[in-house]
Amino acid sequence: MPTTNQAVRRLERVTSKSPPTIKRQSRAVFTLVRDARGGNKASFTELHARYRGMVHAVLLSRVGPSEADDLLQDTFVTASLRLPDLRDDRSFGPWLQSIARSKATDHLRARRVTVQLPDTLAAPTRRPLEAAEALAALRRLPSNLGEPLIMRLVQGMTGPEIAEATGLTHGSVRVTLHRAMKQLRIELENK
Amino acid sequence: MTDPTPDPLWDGAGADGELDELQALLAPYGTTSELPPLPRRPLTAPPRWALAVAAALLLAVGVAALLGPDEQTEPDIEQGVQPDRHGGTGAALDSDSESTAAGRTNRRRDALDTETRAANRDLGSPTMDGDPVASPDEGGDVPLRGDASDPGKSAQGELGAAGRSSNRFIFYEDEMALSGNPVHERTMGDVRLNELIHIPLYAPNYADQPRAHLVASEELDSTGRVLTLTLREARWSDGEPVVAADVVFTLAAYKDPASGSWDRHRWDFIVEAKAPDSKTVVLTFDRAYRTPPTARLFLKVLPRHVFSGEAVPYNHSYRTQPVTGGPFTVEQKDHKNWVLKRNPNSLRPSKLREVRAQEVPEKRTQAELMSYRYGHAMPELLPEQRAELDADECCKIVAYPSKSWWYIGANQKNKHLRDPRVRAALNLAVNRQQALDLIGEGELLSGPFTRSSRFYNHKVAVPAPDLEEADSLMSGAGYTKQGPDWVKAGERVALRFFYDESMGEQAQTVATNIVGQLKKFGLDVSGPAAIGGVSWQERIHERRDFDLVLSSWSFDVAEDIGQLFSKGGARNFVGHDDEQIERLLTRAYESQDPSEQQAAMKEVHRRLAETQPYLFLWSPRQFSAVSWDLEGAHLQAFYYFTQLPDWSLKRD
Repeated sequence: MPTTNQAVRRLERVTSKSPPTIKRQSRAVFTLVRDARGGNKASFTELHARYRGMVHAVLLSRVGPSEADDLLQDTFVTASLRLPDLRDDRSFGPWLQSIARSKATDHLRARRVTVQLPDTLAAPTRRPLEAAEALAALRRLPSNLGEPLIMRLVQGMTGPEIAEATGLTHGSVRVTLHRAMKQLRIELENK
Repeated sequence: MTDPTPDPLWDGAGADGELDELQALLAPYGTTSELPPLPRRPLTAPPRWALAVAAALLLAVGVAALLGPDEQTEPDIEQGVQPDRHGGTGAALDSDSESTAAGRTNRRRDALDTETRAANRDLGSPTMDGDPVASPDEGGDVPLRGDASDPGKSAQGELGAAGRSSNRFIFYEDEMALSGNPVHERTMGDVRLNELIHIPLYAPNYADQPRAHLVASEELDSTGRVLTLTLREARWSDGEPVVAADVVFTLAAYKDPASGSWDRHRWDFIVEAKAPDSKTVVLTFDRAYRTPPTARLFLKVLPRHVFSGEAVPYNHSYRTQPVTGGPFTVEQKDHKNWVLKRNPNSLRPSKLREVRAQEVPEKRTQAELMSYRYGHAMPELLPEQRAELDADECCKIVAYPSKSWWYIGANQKNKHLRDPRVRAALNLAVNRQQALDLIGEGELLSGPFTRSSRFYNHKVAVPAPDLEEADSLMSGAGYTKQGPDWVKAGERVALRFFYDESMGEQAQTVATNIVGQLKKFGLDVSGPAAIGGVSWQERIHERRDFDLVLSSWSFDVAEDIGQLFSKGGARNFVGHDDEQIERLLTRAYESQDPSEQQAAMKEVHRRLAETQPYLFLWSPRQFSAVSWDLEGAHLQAFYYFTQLPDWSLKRD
C-alpha cells in the first residue's frame, strides 16, 4: 500500500506525464501464473507454449542457434523453480525476459576463453548460407531492436503478440520494429 | 480506432516481398521445443496471509521490546539475535563495533522506525541487517523478490524494499569495479567505488571547484614552486591515524613503474614530496604557480602502514580489502557486489548507512530493476530507456554532465596508418552521424574536448563524409583501386579493428557499423573484436598490437590530454609524435595565464584535427536514472559520487 506521499507523487506523475509505456499482461496470463505457482503443470506448459518464442528470440539475439535451444530449456527450468518468488504475476513476461538475458550473459562469460565459431559453420548444412548471414545481421543489431525483430522474423510473432508477451505498448513495439527493420537493411547493405 | 494503413511488419497484413523473403529464410531458426522435464520445486511459498501474520507478530514483539522496562532483555530485532538468558546480547552483538549501550538504543530505535515497520510488513521478515550480500542471483539470474519462509532467499531478494527501508543505497554497474585501490583505477566503475571509500586531499565541490578534504590549510611559497599542506586529524578504518607520510607514500606508489598505475604520469608535475612531521606535507612542483594548484591535487590517499614496499602491485590484497578513510568502508565483496558501510569516523560522514554496488551487465535488466524499485541509481541509461523510465513512477532522469568522448585510435606502427593522408582519408570515409544514430544522441566532435570545454576550438569543423576527397587522398598516398579494394604494391590495406569491451553493447554496434563503412570504402578491415580488462592493457597499451581501436576517454576538470598525444605520454598508445603538438602542450601547461592556456589548447585541437592520430567521434549525451526516494542527489562530471555523503533516502 502506498503511503499518502507516494500516492500524491504517483498522482502528480500520472497526470503530468504520458502514461507508462510498460503495460501489464492480460488476465489470462495472470491466472496461468497463479495456477502454475500452485503446482499446476498444465498451466506452466501453457505458459511455455506462449512464451517460448519470445524467450528464444531474446536468446538468439545474443547466442548461436544451438546454444539458444539449450538456454531456452534452462530458462524455463529456472523460471519454474523461481516462480514462487515472482510477486507481480502480471510481470511474468518481462521477468522471464530478464532470466533469459541473464542466462545468455552468463553463458557468454563462461565461454570467453573458447573460440567462437562463426554461425556459418555452426548452422546446420541444410540451412542456406544467406539465412546464416541474415541471422548474423540481426544479431548485430542492438538488443532492444534485435529482440523484437527476431520475434517477428524468426518466430513469426505479430506485433500485437510481441506487445502482449513483452508487456510493451503496441505503439512502442510498432516503432521499434520499424526502426529495427531500417537498421537491418543498413546491416545487410554493409555486409 | 484502428489504423487503416496496411503494415505487414506490424500485423502481417498486406504483402511485402522483402519481409516474406526474410521470414522464409529465417523460419528454420525458430523454435518448437517442448517443455523439458521440470525438477521438483524445493519449497512452496506460504500463503500471503501467513506472511502478514508473522510480520505482525514480530512487529508486536518489537513494540513490546521498545516499551519494556529492561533494555537488556529486549530482543535485538535488527540483528535478528535473541539475548542470552544472562542479559547479554550474544556473540553476534559482542563482535559488533556498535554494540555499546548507545548503539543498542539507536539500533532499537532504527529497528522500530516507520520505515522498518513498513519493510517488515512487506517482507514478512524481521531480518534487515543480518542478511548476506544481496546478489542478483548466485546462479546468474536477476534478483527476485524474497521468500520469507526461506531465510536464504529472503536475504537474496527484497533488495529494493530492504534498500529503501534501512537507509541502504543500491546502484548498478555494467561491469563491477575491480579495484578498491585508487592507484589502479581503470574504469569509471573503479572511480565511483574509490570516491566512496577513500579520503582525498581535495575533491570538487558542488560548483566543480576544489574543496579541501584532508587538507586543513595550504601555503604556496614566494617562488610558486613549493606548497606546504597541513593535514586535518583523521583516522583510517583500522584505527591508525592518517599522517603526512601516507600522502608521500601514495605519490611514490603512483609514480613507481612497478605499481603499473595507468595514472603514473598524472603526478609528474610534483617533483618532490616530503613529510617533515606527521601533519605537514611539502610538495615541490616542476614549475611555478601563481595560486596553489589544488585542482590538480584530487589525490586519494593510501595508508602507508598497510604496505611493505613503495610499489603497490595490482594484485595486492588491498585491491579487495582496502583500509580506507572515506565516507564508507568495504564490508564485503563478492563476484557481483561491493557492500560498503558508513564510516562514522569519516571527515565527511554519510547520511546513508550502507551502499551496495551491484554488477548487472544488461542495461535493460538494470532498468527493470529500477522500475520494480529494487535499486536507487543507474549511472548510465541507453537512450531508448529514457522515455520508458521517465514515464515510470520509479525514478527521475537526470542529465549527467560528462567530459567524455569516443574516438577511433589509429596505430601509427601500422605502415598504412603512419601516412597522415591515409588517416585523413579514413576520417572522410566515416559517416559519424550514421554510427551515432544507432546508439542515441551526442555531439559530433572535431577534436579532443567536449563542445562545452573552454578548450574546444569551434572554428574547426567536424569533417563531413566526403568519399571523393577520401579517394583522392588515397590516390595521392600511392594507393590504387583494384575492384572494390585499395591496393599499394600489390597489397591490400588490411587493418585489425578492436573495440573496448567495457563500453558494452553500444560500442559493439558502433564498431560493427564503422567496420562496414570502412570495408565499403575499400579497406580490408577485420570484423570488430572486443577486448577488455587486462588484455586491453597488455595488447593495446603495452604491445600496441592493433591497427584501429574504438574506445572513449573521460576527463576530470583538468582535461589533461597531454598523456594521450605527447611523445612518451603514458596513454599515447597510437604512437603520435608531432613537434608542434609538443610545443603547444608545453606552452599550455607552463602558462600562468588562463587565456593563453586556452589559446594554446585550441591550437592543440586544430593541429590534432589536421594530423588525426584519432578519428574524433562524439561526446555522448548521458543520462542517469535516480530513484524518487533519493534526496539531495547531485551528479557531477567524472566525480559521480563525490557529493554522495549528502544524499539521503526518503522515509515513507
